[in-house]
Amino acid sequence: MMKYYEEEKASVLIIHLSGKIMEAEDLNELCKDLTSRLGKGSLKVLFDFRNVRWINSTGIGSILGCLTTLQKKGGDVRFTNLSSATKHYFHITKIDTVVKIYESWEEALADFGD
Amino acid sequence: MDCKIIQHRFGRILILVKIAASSFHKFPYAAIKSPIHVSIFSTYPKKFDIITFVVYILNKCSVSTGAQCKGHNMNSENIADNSLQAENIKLRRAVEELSILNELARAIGASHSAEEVMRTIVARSLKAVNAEQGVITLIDKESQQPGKTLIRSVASSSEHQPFHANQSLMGWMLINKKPIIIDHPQHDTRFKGVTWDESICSLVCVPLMVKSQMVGVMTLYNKKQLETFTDEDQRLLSIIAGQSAQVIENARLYEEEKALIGMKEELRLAYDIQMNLLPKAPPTIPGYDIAGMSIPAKNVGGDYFDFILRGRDELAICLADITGKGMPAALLMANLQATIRAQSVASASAAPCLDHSNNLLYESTDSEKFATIFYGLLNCQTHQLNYSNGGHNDPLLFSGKNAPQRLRTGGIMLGALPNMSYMEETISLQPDDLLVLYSDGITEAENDRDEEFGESKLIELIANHHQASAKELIERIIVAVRDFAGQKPQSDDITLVVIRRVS
Repeated sequence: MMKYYEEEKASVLIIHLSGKIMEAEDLNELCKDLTSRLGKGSLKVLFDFRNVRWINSTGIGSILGCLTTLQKKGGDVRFTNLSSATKHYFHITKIDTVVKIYESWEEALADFGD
Repeated sequence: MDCKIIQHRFGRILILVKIAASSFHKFPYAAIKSPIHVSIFSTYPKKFDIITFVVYILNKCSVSTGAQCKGHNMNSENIADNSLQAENIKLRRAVEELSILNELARAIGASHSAEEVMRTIVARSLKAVNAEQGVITLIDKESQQPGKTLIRSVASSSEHQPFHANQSLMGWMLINKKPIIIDHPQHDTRFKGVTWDESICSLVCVPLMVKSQMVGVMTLYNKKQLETFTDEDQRLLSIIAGQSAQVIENARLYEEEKALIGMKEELRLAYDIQMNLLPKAPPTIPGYDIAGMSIPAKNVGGDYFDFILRGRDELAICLADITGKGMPAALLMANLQATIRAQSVASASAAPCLDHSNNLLYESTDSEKFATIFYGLLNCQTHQLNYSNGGHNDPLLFSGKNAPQRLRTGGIMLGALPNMSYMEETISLQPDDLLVLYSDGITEAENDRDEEFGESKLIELIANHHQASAKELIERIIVAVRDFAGQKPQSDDITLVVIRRVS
């Protein structure tokens, strides 16, 4: 089951994901929560995958769904610390062409600032 | 003589009698129509010359007006008669119980379904204890929620709406696994804060036990004539429940098996339908050797391939993989195939076909459902292949002795994000070129050591059998993948399309 905790750094909301992301329900609540905060202004979100042990196609689809919802409302969503298997999958499916992906959250934070 | 009539909590009438020992034989037993028990409650010391005893009477109606605690003649013959009467009542009741059980066994034997068996049991139980409503509630073992009702069988002899065994009662039964009688449930301290239907005055609930497991409960509501259920009712219902539980379980298992057989038949039909959606034979095009094959991991799957002839010279080639497996993926596969076929006709080249199909799929599915797809248009006269790859494993083009070229141009998988602009590329196929399209069921097939077959093995295999026919090559790849996986079952759909330009 997926878990997460939040951390705010340099006005970027970092969502540290962990566990297995395999069900659409895993992300529904998180996505709703993030969407509700968008009403208060622009939101920069960085999904940190460092502690994600497994993600399947349903999990990836859910993350993309969340990303679309947030982007539509002016949110800026980026990813970091993908495992090599997830990176490979993102490469094959070309998700890496539509999402900004970073090797570390420091690198992501620096880029968010630009 | 002092006499007090009180109502026992199980609905019987008690007559509490205090009488001088010297007048004990004068008590009017004969005037009481159906006393089932006479017992000396306490005997005071002789010197007080007082005996207190209790007469239990079956129900209110059996108190005769003659049973006044006045000075009637009582003698030992009356006592003997009443004792005999009590024994007779007990025997009569035992015969009635046996008759009920016998009738029940015969009725169950004649029932054909779990629902019918349960209705029979409830109806007979209702009659046996003179209750208004009866319900059998079976527990769903698969459910996360303890005590979730799977089947409810109701027989009612009253106008009331069907009562429901509420979760609190089910919870109590799951913990205690023993019969319970509840009078005035709204005031029962064991069920504080529980909301009951106002018209429930009393109920008796008995567990249905199979091999020490509670598989359900039978609950009877409201004894008629505003009485309450007795220990005898509870005992009889417990016997019925004890004899019925296994029968109900067997009937339920039989029903489940029938449902399973029905589902298997539906799956077989779905498999037939899906296989009919795939090309029955590859197209025969001069100068080309073409083959395709799809093997679902389950009965039906989410992979598919297609050949669509566009005019005289053009062939659309498609291979797609829908997320997930089984029936949900198969339903989406049928939807995607219809979409691609329609868009193939309407689009001049590969990219616009995927642009439109992506939006259509995005609108008709949740974002966690998507498809990776390779779509190409082969002109058999010019040997030009115009293609767009929507997030699918790169097809491999083997040309001469060079390393295979990956056909990667395109965009993200279909259905995940809206309004995507897909790229396209046009390449030339030379004589003897070999194009292999495959799904990840090939490269991600695992063996017992959780190792993947991988793309490099696939490339090596194709290179080693470059001269084989398209059909032979597909067969060799499938055999190689199966040999690699060994005993490990196929976990994903496997699909391959091979196109060779012969001349």
